[in-house]
Amino acid sequence: MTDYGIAFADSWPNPWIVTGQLPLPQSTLTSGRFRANPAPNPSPKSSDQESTPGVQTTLDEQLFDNRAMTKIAISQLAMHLDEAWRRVTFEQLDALLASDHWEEDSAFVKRAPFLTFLRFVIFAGPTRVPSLGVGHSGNTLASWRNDNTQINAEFMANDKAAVSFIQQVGRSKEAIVWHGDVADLRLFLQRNGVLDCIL
Amino acid sequence: MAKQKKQTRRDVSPDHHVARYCNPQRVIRDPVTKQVIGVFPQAFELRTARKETYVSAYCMETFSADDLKVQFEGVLAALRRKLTVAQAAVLARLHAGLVVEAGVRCSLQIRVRDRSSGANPGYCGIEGMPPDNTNRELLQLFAAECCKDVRSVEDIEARADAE
Repeated sequence: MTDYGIAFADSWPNPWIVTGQLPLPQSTLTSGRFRANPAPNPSPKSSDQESTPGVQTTLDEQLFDNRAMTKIAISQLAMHLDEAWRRVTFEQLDALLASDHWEEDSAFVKRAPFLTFLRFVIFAGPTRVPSLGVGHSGNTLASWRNDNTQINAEFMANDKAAVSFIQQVGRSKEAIVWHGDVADLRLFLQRNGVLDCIL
Repeated sequence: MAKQKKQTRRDVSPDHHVARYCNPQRVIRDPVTKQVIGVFPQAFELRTARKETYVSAYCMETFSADDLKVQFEGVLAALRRKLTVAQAAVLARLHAGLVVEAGVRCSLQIRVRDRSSGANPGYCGIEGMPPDNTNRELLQLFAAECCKDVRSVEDIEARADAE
């Protein structure tokens, strides 16, 4: 396996790992005193926990913190990323984590899958800016396309990724699906002749 | 007491189309122009937290035989009766026959079945999907092969206002 040479998880400052370290014990949170208050987050997903700093009062604050998490993560790699790439990605994150677009099944961007996405960006060096999305469980979604192909990727925790795209095989089209370590993703795309889709 | 008749759901005609409401976070937009390009395969995942057993959709031909604009507006109106619709969300139009065919290609018996009622016209469900969303091939086929059109809520409203 190729080593990236960047150990994010160990070296990055992580101001968001406050969940579980709150001064309020869990039992206090479920007491009647707190239950009487309206739930701060309309989305009940467990995926929100990772990137949501504990006790918050409004959705806007949680979204602000989530956007900050993703942007700080990107800015810490600024030297590896083109300025335009960062700007367009920031704009997309703002749109994905905007309160006026928020719905019941919207999800906060989970930190670990987002770092997996950034690892891929640094390692594989895609020059095209992907279209970004967020999965139901907070995984980072990315899509690249050119005239012939559209690659859809889902980045997960623990350096895992899943990719799918449609390929012409003979007279018919087939869905090609891959799941594995993100370090192998570039090679997979290369072997299937679709690497140019991200470059 | 008379035995209650078991409800039977008919299949949506394979020639018809169904519209799936997609959360803005699962919409593929051009990163620069913000134009809607398509939807991520995850837009067709079952929401496991809700224990969904089928993917909700609307049969578009319920609202008009062949006028696409009226069909999209009809689906949007039906959705608005049930939920708050985000401007950035989109409706993905899928060919019902291709949805069933995608299932066959993935060795799954997928059915598109009518679940409509007087209060919820056109409502239908894509049934037979694996409950854990593990079949990525199927989801990719839905997003890339079965999806014939993607239209944002904003666009549907703009076209309606233009008249």
